[in-house]
Amino acid sequence: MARRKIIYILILAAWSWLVMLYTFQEIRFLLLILLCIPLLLFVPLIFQRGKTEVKISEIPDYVTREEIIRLRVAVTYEGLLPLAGLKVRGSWQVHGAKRLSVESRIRGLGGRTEREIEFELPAGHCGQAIFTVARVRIYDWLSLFSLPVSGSLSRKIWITPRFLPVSEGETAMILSLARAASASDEGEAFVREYRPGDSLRSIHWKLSVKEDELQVRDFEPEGQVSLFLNMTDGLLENPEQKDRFLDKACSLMVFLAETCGDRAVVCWMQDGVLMRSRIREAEDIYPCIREVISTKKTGVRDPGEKTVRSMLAGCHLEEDGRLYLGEQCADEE
Amino acid sequence: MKSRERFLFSIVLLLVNVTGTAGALLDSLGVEFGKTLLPAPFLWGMLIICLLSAALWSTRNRMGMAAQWLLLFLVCLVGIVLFWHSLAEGLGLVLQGLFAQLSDRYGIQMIWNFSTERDSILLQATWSVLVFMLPYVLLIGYAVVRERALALVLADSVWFAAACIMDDFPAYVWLVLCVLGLAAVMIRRSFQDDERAGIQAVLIGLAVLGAVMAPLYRFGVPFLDSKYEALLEARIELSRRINEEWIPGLRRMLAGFGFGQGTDVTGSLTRDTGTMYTAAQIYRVTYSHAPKSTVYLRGFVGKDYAGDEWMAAGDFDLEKYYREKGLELPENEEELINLTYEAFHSEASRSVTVEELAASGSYTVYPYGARIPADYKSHWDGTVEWKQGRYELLYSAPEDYLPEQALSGASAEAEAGYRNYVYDTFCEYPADQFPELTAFLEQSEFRTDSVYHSLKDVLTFLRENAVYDLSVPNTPAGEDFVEYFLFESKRGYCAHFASSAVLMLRYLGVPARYATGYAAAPESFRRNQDGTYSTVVLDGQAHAWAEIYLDGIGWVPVEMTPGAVPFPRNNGREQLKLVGELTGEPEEDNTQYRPASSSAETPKTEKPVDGESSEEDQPEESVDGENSEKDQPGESVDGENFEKDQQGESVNGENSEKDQPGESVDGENSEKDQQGGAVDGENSEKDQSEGPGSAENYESDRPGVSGGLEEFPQKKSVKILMDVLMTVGVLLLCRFAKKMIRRSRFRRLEQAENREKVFLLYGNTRRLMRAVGCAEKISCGEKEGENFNSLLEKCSFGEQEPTEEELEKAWNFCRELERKVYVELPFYKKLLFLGLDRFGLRQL
Repeated sequence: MARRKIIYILILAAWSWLVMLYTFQEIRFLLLILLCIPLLLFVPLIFQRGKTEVKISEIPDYVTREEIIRLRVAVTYEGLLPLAGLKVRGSWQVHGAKRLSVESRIRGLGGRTEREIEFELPAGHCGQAIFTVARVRIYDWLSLFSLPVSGSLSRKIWITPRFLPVSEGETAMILSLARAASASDEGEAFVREYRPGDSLRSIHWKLSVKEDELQVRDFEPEGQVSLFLNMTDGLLENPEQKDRFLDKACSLMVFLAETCGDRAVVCWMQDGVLMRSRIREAEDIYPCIREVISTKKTGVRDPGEKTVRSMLAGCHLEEDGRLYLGEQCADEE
Repeated sequence: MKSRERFLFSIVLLLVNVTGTAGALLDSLGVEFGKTLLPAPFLWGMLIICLLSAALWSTRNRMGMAAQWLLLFLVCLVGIVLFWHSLAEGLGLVLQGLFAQLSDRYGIQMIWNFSTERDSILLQATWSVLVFMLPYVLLIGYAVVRERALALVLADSVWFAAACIMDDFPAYVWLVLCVLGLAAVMIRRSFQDDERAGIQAVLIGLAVLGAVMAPLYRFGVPFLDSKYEALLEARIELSRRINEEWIPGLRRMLAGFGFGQGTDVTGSLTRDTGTMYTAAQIYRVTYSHAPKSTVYLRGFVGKDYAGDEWMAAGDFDLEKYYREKGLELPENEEELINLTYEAFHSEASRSVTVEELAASGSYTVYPYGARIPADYKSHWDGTVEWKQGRYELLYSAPEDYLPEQALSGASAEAEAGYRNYVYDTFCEYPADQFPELTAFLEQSEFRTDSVYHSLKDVLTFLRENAVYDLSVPNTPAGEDFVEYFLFESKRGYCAHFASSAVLMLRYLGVPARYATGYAAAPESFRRNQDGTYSTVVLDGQAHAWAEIYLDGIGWVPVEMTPGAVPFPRNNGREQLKLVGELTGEPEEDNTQYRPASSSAETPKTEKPVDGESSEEDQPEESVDGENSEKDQPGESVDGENFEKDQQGESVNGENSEKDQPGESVDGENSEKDQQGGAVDGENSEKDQSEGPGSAENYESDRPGVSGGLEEFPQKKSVKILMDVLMTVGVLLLCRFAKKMIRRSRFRRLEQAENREKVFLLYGNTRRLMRAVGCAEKISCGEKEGENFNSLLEKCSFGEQEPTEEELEKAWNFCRELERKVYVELPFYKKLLFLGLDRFGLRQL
């Protein structure tokens, strides 16, 4: 497109030059054509602009990491004259990755038609990703001029970790912990302030209205299986290590939810605050995962290289009866 | 969309494009249907080629495509091999027309010998054009089928280039088809994802474009034409800049890479203002003897006048003439080029050496009478291609010419054949091109009885009717170069005079050409230690002159420009005299040209043509004035003298005596001059009293014309006296004006308040310092200077008036400062200082 425009400008310049040098009337005639025809074909573009609409088709909220996201942008053109071209440029921003610019073009669109443009987007790293339709332009028949189509669209997608099989050692360890927890007493219920990751069903609406602050019913069973995700800032800054850590953590969380029922608790540090989320049902796992993967800073000092490797190796049982994914360090509660 | 529909649509677009593009190409090249091509076979052939091209480019399978290409190549090869003779014959017909057009346009030397009957090979010509159009159509096919608009632009640029080269633009119908075809391909490419929509768009687009082009042609083009006229000055300026500034500028940038600082000697009649004469040394010319007359170093020779330039004849022209007349061409160009050398040839061994110092251009320059060796790249017209470095040529001086020793044998035969060509070619006068000049020449009474008389009349007319002016602008658009000069501006430089003279001489039946090169006056030659004579030719000595053909001698230069830059004096008379000597014609009578417009007032004095009697009766007095100038050399004002005897002395005083006896022509002329001079005074007086027919009266009818041939001593002395008086008057006037100005400024200074006086003094001193290049500020370490500065500050910022004592000190300081500055100034700045001394403060 740009090449065609450049060539047109060069030809126009050369022709203007020739008009000055040669007295042939035909050269002037061709100069008129060079000037008038593109302008003439530009006029319908002004009307076609209002007849063009772009929408992003429905897409799932969660996508597993390393999947290819097929995002469709629907173009609706309601004009009568054919539309020569439409170019959609989008940007795909994933946490921890460079912004990716994608563009696709439809060359030729008949009157009153609808077409979809498909973008294949990589789900590279865990976290929230945003697709934005940055620019939509329609082109004239000679593809020399373009006009922007108004409107800016964006869509958010959560890229979740991959759920991997839990190792035999971890399975045995978790199952023994689950059995021990189920054998203990019931524990006691209490009300506390809402924390991100709490299930909506645990919210005490009446009390929340009264207190003007979200309150949730919680139950502290006597026996529970706690999984402490010992993430550090250094780990989070490395997207690949973070992805592997989260894969491991989420796999354990899912396994905990399946095996321990409502006695599974996941803890992690976020901005120096200990976050705690109880997993009662399998459905609670996604809000919890979303909170975990959206953690940008933990406030935990960065361990050494060796410790990072142990974080990614697997969970272990500490003397306090908790499961730890990653080395326990001084900042732990 | 089905592939068959797509294919058909491609073929339709291809046909549109091929018709437009191929039509434009053939139209530009001047290949006409019916005349060169048979329409029906050509159209059928093109259709087949189009189908072939579409089929070839539609194939997506690489192997299949390669096989098809191979097959096509083999078929073409076999066809060309089998029918080579027919195709070549047909192509010859096409090329003949093409080369004829090119030769007409550029004066180049290309001809396609073709003797077959035209009508019998039209079919062959059609087939050969089809064969040679095949690659072109294949390129267009690629552009259309593969939707490559750029390739189509490339294909269109072929016919456009051809149109520019041939200077002939194709007809509108081809242009419209080209535009429609290109637009269709571009639109189709824009719709390549939806071909059905693409076809719709193409059809709608073509309909709209077709509908728009009609009003554009009907209304837009005339509108643009009217605006285009308004752009005329800008276009001329652009053209001037390109030709006179940018290209010469580029050449100057390339100086040292084969291009020198000098101007290229060409036939262009527009002055190269971009090339400023910088007194750059172009050639060093060394003669083995002292040249007696102006040395003309010829470079370019022009045959045809084309309005804004003279165009070279080229070898083609002469060869064609000889062939048509059944004459046999000399084996070498040298035989014709060296005719003048042979004619002037004497026993004396002479040579000329030309050394390039910073020359540039397309030609080797050499003097008339030089012998061009066989290994030089020369042309029939006498021009020699540029030869770098230093070259030595044998040389025969015009003064060596003896009629009894003129051409003989093979040279005489060659000259006789060449003479026919010269008279048939260089006497051509395009009367239609110069209606005003033709009408004038028809009414005028230029003599045609001899070359000498014709030349003299033309020379006289030019000198009386036009003045030399190197600063004249280029000829306005729409005006003819020569006619505008002769009848409108009446001012011009060498190109104007020479061009006009050539045309007028041709009208009078004298074979004439336009020549450019360099000219050097004999006075400029200096004797070297080895006895040779050298001069350095500067770029400002570039010059244009006319050449005439003298039977049995060849081309000789004739100077038509009065007071041209290269000469310290006008030498038109000198050349005229030389022609008279060469043709053996008399030194001239009193009979002279009378312009048609003034013929009634100044009736022509009928004089016998006979040289002896006319010379005796009417010596040179009224026409030439050369003898009278010789008699009174001290009174020569415009250099129209003939101090030929003194030339030798100026060049080489020792030789003058030695040369005189040996050179009979000069000797005779000297005597003749003296004789003429002896009776000159009498006849001058006689002429003065003779009434309207006399030269003086004739001159007085044209008070605005200066530098004419007739200048009487009496008139000159009066003129000198007038000049002296005028100069004295102007000096007195300047003195008076200065005094008045100074007085008015003094008055201002006297009337000013004390405070203002300080500022006036400061301003005056500062202006003087700045003008003579002193420091910007009047500040010095001296006490007086500091006092003056403090006084200035006081006057600027304080409210106190300066006292009389302070003012006196400031006045004295300024005087002293100016005095010191004046003493330190170089001489030329002292004059400036005196001129600028506004308040007269200095007491020197």
